[in-house]
Amino acid sequence: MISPLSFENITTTEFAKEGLIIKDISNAEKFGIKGKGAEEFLKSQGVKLPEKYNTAIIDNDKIIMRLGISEYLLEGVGVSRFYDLPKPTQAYQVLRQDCCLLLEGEAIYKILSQSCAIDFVKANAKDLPLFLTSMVGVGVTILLSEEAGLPKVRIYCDPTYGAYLFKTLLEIGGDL
Amino acid sequence: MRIAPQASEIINRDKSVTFTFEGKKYNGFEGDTITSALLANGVKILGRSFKYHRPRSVSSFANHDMNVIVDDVSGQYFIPNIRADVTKVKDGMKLKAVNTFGGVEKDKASILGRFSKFLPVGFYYKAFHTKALFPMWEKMFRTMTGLGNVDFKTPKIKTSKDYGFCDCLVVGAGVSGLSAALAAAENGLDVVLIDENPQIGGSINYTNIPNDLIERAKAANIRIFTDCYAAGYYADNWVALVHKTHMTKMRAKTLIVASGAFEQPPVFRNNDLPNIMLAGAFLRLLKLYSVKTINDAVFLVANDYGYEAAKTAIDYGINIKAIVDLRSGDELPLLNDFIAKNIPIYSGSCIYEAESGKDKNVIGVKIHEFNDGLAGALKAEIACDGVVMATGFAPALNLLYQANTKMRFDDARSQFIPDVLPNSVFSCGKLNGNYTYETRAIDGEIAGINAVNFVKNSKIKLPKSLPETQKPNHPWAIVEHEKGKTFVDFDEDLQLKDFKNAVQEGFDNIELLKRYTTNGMGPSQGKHSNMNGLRVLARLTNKTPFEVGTTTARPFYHPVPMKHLGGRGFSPNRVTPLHSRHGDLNAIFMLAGNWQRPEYYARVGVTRQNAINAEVMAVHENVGIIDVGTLGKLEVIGPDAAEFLERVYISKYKGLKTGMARYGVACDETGVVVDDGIIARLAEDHFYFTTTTSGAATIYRELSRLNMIWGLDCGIVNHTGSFGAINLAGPNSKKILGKFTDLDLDDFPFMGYREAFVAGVKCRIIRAGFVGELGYEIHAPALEVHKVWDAFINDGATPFGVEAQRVLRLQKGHIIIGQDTDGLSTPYNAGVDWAVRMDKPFFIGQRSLKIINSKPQKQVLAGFVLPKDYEGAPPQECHLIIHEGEIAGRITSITKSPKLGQIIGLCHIKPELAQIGHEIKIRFSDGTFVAANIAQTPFYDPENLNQKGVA
Repeated sequence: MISPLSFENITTTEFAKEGLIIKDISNAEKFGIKGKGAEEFLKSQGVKLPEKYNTAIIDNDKIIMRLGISEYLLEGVGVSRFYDLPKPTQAYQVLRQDCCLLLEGEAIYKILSQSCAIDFVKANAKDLPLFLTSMVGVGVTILLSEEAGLPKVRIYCDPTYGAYLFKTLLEIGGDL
Repeated sequence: MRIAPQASEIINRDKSVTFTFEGKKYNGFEGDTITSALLANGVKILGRSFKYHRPRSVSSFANHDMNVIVDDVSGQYFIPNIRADVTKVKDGMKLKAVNTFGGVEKDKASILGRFSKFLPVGFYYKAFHTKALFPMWEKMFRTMTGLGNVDFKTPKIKTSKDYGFCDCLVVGAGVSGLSAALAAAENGLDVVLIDENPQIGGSINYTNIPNDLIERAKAANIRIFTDCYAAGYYADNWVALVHKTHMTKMRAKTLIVASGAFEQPPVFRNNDLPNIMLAGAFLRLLKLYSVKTINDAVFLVANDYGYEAAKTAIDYGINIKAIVDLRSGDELPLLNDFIAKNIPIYSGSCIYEAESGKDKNVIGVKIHEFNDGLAGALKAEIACDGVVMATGFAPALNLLYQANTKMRFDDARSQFIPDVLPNSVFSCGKLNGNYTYETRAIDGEIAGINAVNFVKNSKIKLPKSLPETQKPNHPWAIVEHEKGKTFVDFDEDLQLKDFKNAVQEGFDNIELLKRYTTNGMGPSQGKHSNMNGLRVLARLTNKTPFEVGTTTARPFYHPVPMKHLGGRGFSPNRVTPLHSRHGDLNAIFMLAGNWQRPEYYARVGVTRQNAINAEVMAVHENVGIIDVGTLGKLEVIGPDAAEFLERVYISKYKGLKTGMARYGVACDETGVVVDDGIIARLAEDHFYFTTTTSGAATIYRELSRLNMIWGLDCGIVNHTGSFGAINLAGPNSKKILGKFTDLDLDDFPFMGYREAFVAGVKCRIIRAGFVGELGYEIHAPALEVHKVWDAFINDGATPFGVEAQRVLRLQKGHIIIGQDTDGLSTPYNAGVDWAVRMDKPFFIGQRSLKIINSKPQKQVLAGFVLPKDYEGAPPQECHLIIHEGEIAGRITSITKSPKLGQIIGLCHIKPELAQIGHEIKIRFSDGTFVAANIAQTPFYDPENLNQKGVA
């Protein structure tokens, strides 16, 4: 599998223990766009957009993340087709090859508290909040959500940091 | 000795532990500290003092007991400097007192006490006058000083750190802290309550205060951390909490400091003898650990707390031989209980000196009159086997000082008190001068409600505070003695006379005094000595304590284990999308910034240097391939993109044709070179450009900032991680590239830019020549770039690493920003003045460069060569160039070129010495010299025919 994690010949891409799963889900299709024209472009493609910045919405298995006032990251089947489409003025597409790690389970708060200076416990996962922050020294975008009452986070980062981030989270998770 | 079980004890008598101390075996109970277990076994001497190696035992028993520090030598590697007063004893521990020569019982270094007259404070400053004798002194002092031994075999222990959050952090779970936490929690705050002790309650646990605060706090919605202390306060209520196993970085909306007060030892001759202890130590040993070390006690007191301790002693059947009170007249409390029991009370008196017996333990005291801080006539000599002292406290204000609290000195209470607290920080209890239960409880409640009002912006009415009636702190519990041994600082064996000498020598400022005497610089960091030191200085200089002031309180409050500070040691490193490919090719990796890059590719039976040389020659003679994915890769898009670049870089880009690229140098406002790269024009309004490997994030951040300020109609995109990049170089590079692309390579000029499919991957290609041969820089999406790499490798391209690239670029005289430039390098002295275009309206650094260019250069960048027949060791980067005995420059890059067969390099040098052919002298680290000659760059292919592909 070609993924940011394989940049360093990592063979394990999934880790599980009681109350915790860490998975590499980098291979999902992604599309990035920024600029004042980004909203116009996405709407023209029928994409629903989050009203608030630093939040996300999930629409038919597609995740639409609003990273700032006028920057978006989309993930899901088919979103990469947007790269080939003409863009309006002031819409600048961003090649997204991010590493994406998925953390699930009750224990994720312990991992997050050891790796990131954000209070995730008090955040409302139902709002799908996005955090553009630093985790173990790496700039990351974190999407908090929940499924069946259990918390879940997606952590996106520059793919060249992917192997380091994955190994570091595995080390913390392994020590819990 | 251990007394009968009692309800207040915190030891588990069902679980005994066995340990050794100084080679002897002892038993204790689970829950015992090392100190309590040793005392329960009748051990008299628990440690030796730092300087004179005097016998010592328990003193404060309060997390800063400087007298009892041990090494645990039981494990695979030993643990140094354990504070025995608070560390729980464990089964199998092998403990050894620190800083002894021959053991704690018969420490040979105790002879130093006899020479104390010759070892006053600052003696080492005077001893080091003779330079020739310095090595001898150094060796001697290094042998004699220090506490525990560091075991260099100790492995790195990765310890977790975590972040915590709360509405209200309460530091200290004594009466006021509990009250504050309860008030805050009951009004809806998320409260964290911490205490350094293994149980909450503080003095409630060992005094006779009847209250239910502990149980209420346990039942409330409060997160309680025991065995945890606040080690440091940082901006915005960020507090470092040190647990036994790890550190928490706690961010609190409000902070309530209820950290209480340190008992302060009175000063008199031999006040450090074993079994002379502070009242808190006496009470905690008795009530919490059921350890009684005194049968015949003398109490030295100056407050109500001392009498409470004396009452407890009576309850436990201890024979009180005398109570010595520094105070007299109206200051004394009601003494009927003691008088009824025929206990002698010496008011207006002091202990003038204590005496020791054969076992070094205290055996008696001399009681003198005490008037206005001076000892008078002898009143009595009393035999005893222990002295309990309670003459005053010093508030534990460290955290508040760190939080920039302004203090005042309260003369009535003789202590510093918070005067102006920072917003969102509150204090209560003994810190505020409240010592009785009622005043502390109310004060805590007020602090808790203040915290609630702050967080919730509410206006809950505060309870009315109560006036404090106690005067807990005697202003001068210090008795001078002509024979000395009147210890003010037990950590460093500082005596009263040492302070006098220091002041006489001119060190009459509190900060100077501290540094000269080392008062407060030992393990307890002045917790028991700073206040007395301050009082001594105040009296010697005729100032008030407030005028003298306190020393700066810096983190950390208590010693923090290094493993807690180190944590897991996060060290982010990056790998390129081709990392695994390099591993498959036996790459030897090196760190370049935070990138793991191939230094070279190892080959069986080939030395490192030969492997690098072979890589260099492959590029010259055939085709090489290097991963340059570490380069920063940015885009600027929009109608104002060219204008934006014109402002950022020193060259011009508005006229750059689409499909062409140009070298770019960026400066800061002072004209100093900060980055370089290649800028390619993809379309009229679209540029793609590279930055240095280390500069990508910084440049992107700076460009984004500038774009916001300038408000130009363009957007900047950072593609550094999303694109991989390869440099294919060598005379056969065109041939091999042609096999995998339909691009017309004949119509692809030097510094041209094209987009094309290579090995089935859509790529961006720049025809550049950093390594001096015909070459193509090929950029492809990170997840696909391996296909391009594999195609070239499988077709015979030789991979080359960073070292070969350094040789190749140096042959061309191409600079590396940060290596061949420094914080003073401008385009004019970094050899890139040709890129400066002053004939445009503006670029960053333009104004500075105009000024700089009007003045003579102090240094220039020049090439140099060593003779071809030179066979000695090559000079190294940063070796100095010496001219007429003065430093004239330094080497920035140097290598031996296998192509040219000689050592070549770049150097910063004075312009007058930079004439082609001029001989320069390079000094080696050992002081020898080698001659070199200034040479023209490029050293190789000066006409650039190879990289242009026309050779």
